Amino acid sequence: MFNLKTILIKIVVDFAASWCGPCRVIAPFVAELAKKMPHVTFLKVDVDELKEVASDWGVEAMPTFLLIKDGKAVASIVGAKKGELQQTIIKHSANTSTSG
Amino acid sequence: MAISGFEGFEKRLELQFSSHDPDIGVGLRNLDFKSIEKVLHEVQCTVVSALGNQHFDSYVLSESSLFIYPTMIIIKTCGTTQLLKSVQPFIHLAETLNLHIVALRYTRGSFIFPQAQPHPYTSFSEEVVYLEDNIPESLCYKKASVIPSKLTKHSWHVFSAGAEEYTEDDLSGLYTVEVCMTDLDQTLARKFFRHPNDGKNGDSAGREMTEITSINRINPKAKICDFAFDPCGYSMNGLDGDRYSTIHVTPEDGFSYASFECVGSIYNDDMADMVKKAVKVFGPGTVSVATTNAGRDMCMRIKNAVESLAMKCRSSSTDEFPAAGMVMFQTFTTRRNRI
Repeated sequence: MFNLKTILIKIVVDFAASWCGPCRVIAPFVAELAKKMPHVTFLKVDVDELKEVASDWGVEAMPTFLLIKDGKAVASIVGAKKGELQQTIIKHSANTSTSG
Repeated sequence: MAISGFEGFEKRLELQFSSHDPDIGVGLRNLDFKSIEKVLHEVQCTVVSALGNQHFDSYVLSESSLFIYPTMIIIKTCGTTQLLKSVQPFIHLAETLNLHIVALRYTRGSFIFPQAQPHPYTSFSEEVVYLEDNIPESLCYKKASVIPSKLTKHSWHVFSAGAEEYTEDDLSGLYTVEVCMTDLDQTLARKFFRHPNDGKNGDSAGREMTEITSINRINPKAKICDFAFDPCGYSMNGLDGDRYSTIHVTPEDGFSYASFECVGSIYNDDMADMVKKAVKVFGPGTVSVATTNAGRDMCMRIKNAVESLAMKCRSSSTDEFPAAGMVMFQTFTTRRNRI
């Protein structure tokens, strides 16, 4: 029981806006990733509807992805960067841990 | 010089639109990505990265950059791309949003490998014919001009057309600076090569280049969208409020080239400093600076900034365009000519 695959990140937050072209560019890719990674929760924040949330997290450009673990952002990707988004999520979520 | 290599010099197109409807909203930013991709396919390039903010969308392309504002499109592409094939499709797409073209500006420097260009880019007069055939008659204030310099290889090509005459009164306070650099310092240019099997993707390699070359310090306020090509080459778009900046680098020796372009506002006076920082990143042997609507005072400040980097201004010419205002073209070379 102590040799568990520990999921290091739990949540990916996608800060987006309906009027932002680059957000629409990456949206289908994010949807695919979410399907492929059921162990990670993908959330989308509309920066118009939740202005305060966006400004609390210092989001100035879209899309911005925050990888969150224990309530803290452990990594961020600014821009519609498919390769980097996928690699960063894998890096932070697929580590194995043998501690118990 | 190599017989032929990658053409770094970009072709640049700026299209301005307006609507009878005062509530334009996000305008052209509503264009769906599939339509944009179709236009880019005609031009022969693709989107590799993208970033937007409250004011505009920016796209890093496989060959340079695209910016979409609610009523303006700026697209610049390098290599042997077919930039002008985007004119008609963009005009049509804008029409679907009830936006009508009111001004167009096409600019470029002198190609390093002119013989490698496809028609109509083989000569400026052919490009002008193509443009005139592909814009509506309403853009009646037209002018095409080649602004010369004392460096025989460098001249600045401008075609401008507008539905209305440019007047100082409707000055938005915005101006454009286009810097072209050749004969880059080899040590500095090497930073834009990737290591084989570096295990990185274009995004992460690009971010690393942005940092190690201090490109991120040119405008520390800007949000940067960057990309590194394999095996070499680099592009970035910077977003600072409603102002964009963009850098493109072809680092190969023999035809090395880098460009820095930025839109400035008369209400901010950091432009000369940004140009200086950008030129310093590359240590070029030759620099040209084309400014549109900047005013002589700003041109002088930019000149002084470039000259403070051990470069000498070799020529300075201006021309007036009925729909675009004043364009100044300045060229510089290093004080000690390198071998």
